[in-house]
Amino acid sequence: MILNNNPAIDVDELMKRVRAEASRLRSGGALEFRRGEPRNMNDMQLAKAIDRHHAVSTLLAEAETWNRPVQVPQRLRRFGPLGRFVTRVVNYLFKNQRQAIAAIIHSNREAIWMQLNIGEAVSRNIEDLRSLERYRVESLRDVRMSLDVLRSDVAGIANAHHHTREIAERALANGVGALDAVRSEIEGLATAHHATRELVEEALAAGERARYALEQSGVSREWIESLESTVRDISGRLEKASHEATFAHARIDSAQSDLRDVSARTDLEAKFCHQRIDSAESTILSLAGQAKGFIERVEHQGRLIAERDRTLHAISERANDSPTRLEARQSLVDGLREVDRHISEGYESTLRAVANLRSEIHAVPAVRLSVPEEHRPVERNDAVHAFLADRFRGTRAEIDAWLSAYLSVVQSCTITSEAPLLDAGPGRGEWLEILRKNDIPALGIETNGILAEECRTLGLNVRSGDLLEDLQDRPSRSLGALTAFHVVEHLPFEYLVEMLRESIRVLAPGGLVIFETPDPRNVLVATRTFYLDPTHLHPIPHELLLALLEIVGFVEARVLELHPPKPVFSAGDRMSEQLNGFFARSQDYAIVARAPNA
Amino acid sequence: MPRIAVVTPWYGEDAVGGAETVARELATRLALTHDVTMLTTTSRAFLSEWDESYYAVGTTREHGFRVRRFAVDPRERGVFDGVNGSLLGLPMENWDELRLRGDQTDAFIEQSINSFALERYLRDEATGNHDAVIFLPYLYGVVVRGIEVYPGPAHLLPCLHDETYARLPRIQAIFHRAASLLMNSAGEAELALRLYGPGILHKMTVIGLGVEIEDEIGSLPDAVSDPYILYVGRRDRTKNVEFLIDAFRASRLNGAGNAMKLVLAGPGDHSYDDRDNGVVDLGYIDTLTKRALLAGARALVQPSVNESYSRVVMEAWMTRTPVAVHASCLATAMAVEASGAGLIAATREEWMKAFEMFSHDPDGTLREMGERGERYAREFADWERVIPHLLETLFGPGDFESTGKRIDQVVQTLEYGDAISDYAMHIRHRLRTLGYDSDIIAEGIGHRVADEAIAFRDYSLSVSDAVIYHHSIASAATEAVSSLTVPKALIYHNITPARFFEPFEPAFAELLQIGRAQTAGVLPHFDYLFADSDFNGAELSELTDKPVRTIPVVVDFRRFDRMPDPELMRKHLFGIHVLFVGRVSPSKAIGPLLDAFEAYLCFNGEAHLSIVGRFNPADAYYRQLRDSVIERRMEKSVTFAGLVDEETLTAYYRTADIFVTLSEHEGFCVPLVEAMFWDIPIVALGTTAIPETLGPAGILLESSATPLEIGALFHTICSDLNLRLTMIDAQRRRRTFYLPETGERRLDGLISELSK
Repeated sequence: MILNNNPAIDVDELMKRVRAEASRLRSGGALEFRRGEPRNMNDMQLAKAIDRHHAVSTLLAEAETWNRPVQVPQRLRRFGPLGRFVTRVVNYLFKNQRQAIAAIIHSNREAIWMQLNIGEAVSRNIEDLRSLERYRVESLRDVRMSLDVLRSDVAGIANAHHHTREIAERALANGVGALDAVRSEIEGLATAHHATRELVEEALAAGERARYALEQSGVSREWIESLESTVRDISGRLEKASHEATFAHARIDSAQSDLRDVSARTDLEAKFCHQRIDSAESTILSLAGQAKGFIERVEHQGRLIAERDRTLHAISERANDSPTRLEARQSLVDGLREVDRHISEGYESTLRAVANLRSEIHAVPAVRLSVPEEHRPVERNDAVHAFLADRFRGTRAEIDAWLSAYLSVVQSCTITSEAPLLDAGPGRGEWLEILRKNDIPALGIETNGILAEECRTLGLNVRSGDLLEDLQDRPSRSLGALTAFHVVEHLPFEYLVEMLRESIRVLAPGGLVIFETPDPRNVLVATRTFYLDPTHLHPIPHELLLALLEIVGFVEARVLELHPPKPVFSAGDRMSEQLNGFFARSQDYAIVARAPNA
Repeated sequence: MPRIAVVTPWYGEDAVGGAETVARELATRLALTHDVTMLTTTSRAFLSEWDESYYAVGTTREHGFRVRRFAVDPRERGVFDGVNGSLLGLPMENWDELRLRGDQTDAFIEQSINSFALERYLRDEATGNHDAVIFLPYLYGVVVRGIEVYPGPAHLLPCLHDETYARLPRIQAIFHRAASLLMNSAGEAELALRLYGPGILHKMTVIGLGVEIEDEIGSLPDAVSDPYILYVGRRDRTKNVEFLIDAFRASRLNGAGNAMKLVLAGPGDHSYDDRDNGVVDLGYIDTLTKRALLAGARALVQPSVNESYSRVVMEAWMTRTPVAVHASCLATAMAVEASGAGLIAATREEWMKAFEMFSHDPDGTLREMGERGERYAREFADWERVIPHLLETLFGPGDFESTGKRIDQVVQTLEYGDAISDYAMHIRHRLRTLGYDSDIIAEGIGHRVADEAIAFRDYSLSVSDAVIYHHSIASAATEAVSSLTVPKALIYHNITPARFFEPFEPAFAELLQIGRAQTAGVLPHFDYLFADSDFNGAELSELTDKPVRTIPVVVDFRRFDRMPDPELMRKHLFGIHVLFVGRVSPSKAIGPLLDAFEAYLCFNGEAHLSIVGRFNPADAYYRQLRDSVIERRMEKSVTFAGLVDEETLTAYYRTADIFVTLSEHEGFCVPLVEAMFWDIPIVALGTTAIPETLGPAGILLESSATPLEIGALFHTICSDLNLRLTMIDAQRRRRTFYLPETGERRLDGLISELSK
């Protein structure tokens, strides 16, 4: 196959390689694959026709350059002016010829131009319509997708509504249960009171009898007076108890009325949601109807296109027919354009309707339960939590020592009474006490009613309520700092993100956040200690929290190492180092970040 | 006394550097016999702030010639550094991209060292004040813009290196605009040819470069004694010193030449001194010691792969010391090959063999090599030879005197883009240069070349003193010429066999038949018979006993002396581009070419085939080809370019990756020679005159090769770099047979016979 003309090339080896490649090609059927389907006759004819036209133009150009007045031939130049004269005469005589030829060339050009343009316009039209069809199909797909998204939005709202309803019912049940509990306590109290009253009366009577006996026996007056004061004391306590009972009654009544309020509002909200869902459903139905009509129109157009194809094929076969056919084709194209315009408009309106509906759905306010703090029903579980908190958190003294380390961090930012520090989940209030001792204006928000009450007894400014709601109610840039010790591990993820978003809004520029939470780098924490609090959701690695802070927009986020761990493994070798790293490190970590200054 | 100007960016005692030294030495020597003016700027030196004026504007007299300084322009150094940085940082495999990025790299010239005053002087006054203007070196704004505005013939002394800058379009443009290119070495000339194509061949002259050698010799340092080989130069990595030492150590381990030492001399941070192992590093030495070391060395070793001109090699040769150079360095390798004064080595093993040779000198060839080196250096590194060479290029040997004789040529048709027409015009050019009156007479004249020929019917051949007749088809002129009594030469370009055209153009086929039949009858009337190839000659020899001589077509490359069409460059520079140049006619087997290309498309669907050559759109053969392309859905991959102008043709050759012709009948095939000069691997059908034209170059196919196999061959070539390099290597060697000077000499032979 290859001649051996170059000693530097091993021809046999080259031929072997080439033949191997060639047979690979052959066996793979690559050539047939490349050629594919025989080319559409129309396409080919059109391509060939256009090709020919271009070539013919070249011929015409050449013809033009030949069609010029002749120069004086060499032979005649010898005759000087006579030669020139003869040439001029000849050119003059042939002037008509030249003009005729020029006219022919020009008309041929025009004919070609016409043909070419028709051919090209036809191809372009077909291409246009094809791409229009593709566009329609894609748009239809988009509409379908929007509908699906709508559907899932509506389902989401229905779920949220359902969820809200559950919470409301649970709250109601809790409230009712709590009421019952209180009621039975009070009845117990009343009985106790009653019993006490009887006892007291008996005691009084006994006292009287004693008094009389004593008076008769001449016992000292002081002793009698002391008895009397004791009796007075007892009766005072009785009164206080009965007072408290009355107060408790009043609280029960107001709690009951609050609950009724809440349940009424919940009902209202639920009804509102239902209405929204109903209207969404009906819009979807109408949209589906529109989409169906839309699909039908596209299919109709597809049929029109197919028909057009056939018509055009007929046209291209009789390309040199009279202008009337051209007009017929033109009107067909116009008609199709008209149809296309209708479809566009219908499609546009569909899109707009879908967009509107989406925004309406998103405007539905979140259903909230917001109960005024004084009338918050007492949660039985709060007591349990308070108990657990005591048992596992450590003594007050230990906590105080731990928290003082954060003091210097907090003192580095500007906290005023207009922009105070908010502590989320203050628990027993140790941190707030430290702040108060150091004259830093601070307040707290605590979901556990009992713990909140305890704090208030200590004179701390702690409100009972939900952290996120609290932040949402605050104006922007109204807090100097936000601290949350052992809070974030209790929060569901979406709640946490929302809370971070609200906090960056509420913090003043350069405002500080401090989060402390169990550190899963400590293997014991990650596998055991963390789960001692059943309301812990899952450990939050510091990388995750740092990332969240960054995403939300906090700056200078960093992990604080305030409490270096005490090593347990002391051999000093690498193994001990590793083990200490896993088992003897600090149980918690803290992250500090700032709201941006801008 | 002729007045010469030298344009260069810096001149002065602080201007040190290769090009600056050349400028000074050139001007000093020219000033001995000519009126020389150095035109430069007020800037101080390459190492100073370029746009800071150090010298005063105006004219001074220094070293025997006038130095006229023009105010240097302010520039934006930051912009320049930015462009320069990105150019220097470009990895070598991306250098070719620069050919497309003219506008983005303009700042390299615009913010270089420039002087508007100097440009204005060159544009308006220089032609009046100087008879010849030399520009050097190629890199700077002063030179580039100077050449752009100078209306007269610019002589560029580029000091060209293989670097990114050489590929910038604006820089390439001055190589085309210059009237002559003065090269320091054959290596530099070869580099320019590879970068810019064969269009510049006709105006490149290797004038060499003078190297000074003092007569005084110092003494050898104590540490050095015979035998030793010497390296002189810097120690940095680009000079390949570590490779050298490594090879030297390996050769000592083999026991070869344990006594021979390697002496290193020259500045550098790192010392490779290792006397126990035979490496003596002397560090910096003065010129006298260098001369002593050169004279006493067995050989000078130059392992660097990036030299444009190695001064020290010339210095060694001047002391009759042979050299060893690296095969990958064009400049030095070509010099050694041309002179035969040393060894060329590439791999470690080859260098070790070289050391062995230097150590033992088995055939006593070292002395002879040294003598050859001295002769070569005297020719190319001696100012005494360089200056006359330069002057000859600047002022020419003078026009030949008119001989008073007229030698005309007769062709059947003169057309643009026709090989025979081009050849005839080239011959006419040569005739007129030699002082003859000469015209081309043709029966049919294409309108694009209407002014180049005289119509046969208008011309009386009786005025000619001799006639060259180009025979390739039946012609009415044939009879008229045959009947002339003046000396007549016939050049036979072969007549395509009629069978190719019978299915498509029966009328033309008949013409061809007649032409062939006429040939035998025509030959006896001609005094001298020539043919383009032995193949053509053999056909004539069958019809006559007269001697037939072969003169290969002399290809005129001047049409490529222009910038390639940028649109085509953008389209085809990257991506596989298969090229065929030739008329679209049945004998050229374009159908099989399309089949083969279709097979290749299965390997690489992005490949493109360009068929560059005249076609007649109404022609049935052409229509058949076009329809076949459309049916096989290849319209996007196949272009029938038709007759193209010179910028377009240059771009086609520049961007081609494979040149292919499956033509079944060729009398010589000029495009093959063009492809060889453009370094395009050639695949051709090995029939008629093609094997003769190509010789050992190109891959020749047998007619049994199937389209699938040919397509697979394209794929193999495109994916195997070694194969491509081997092919290009063979083509580079073969093409020396077709160099313009060689061709001209052959033509001169023909012409002198005719004019006897």
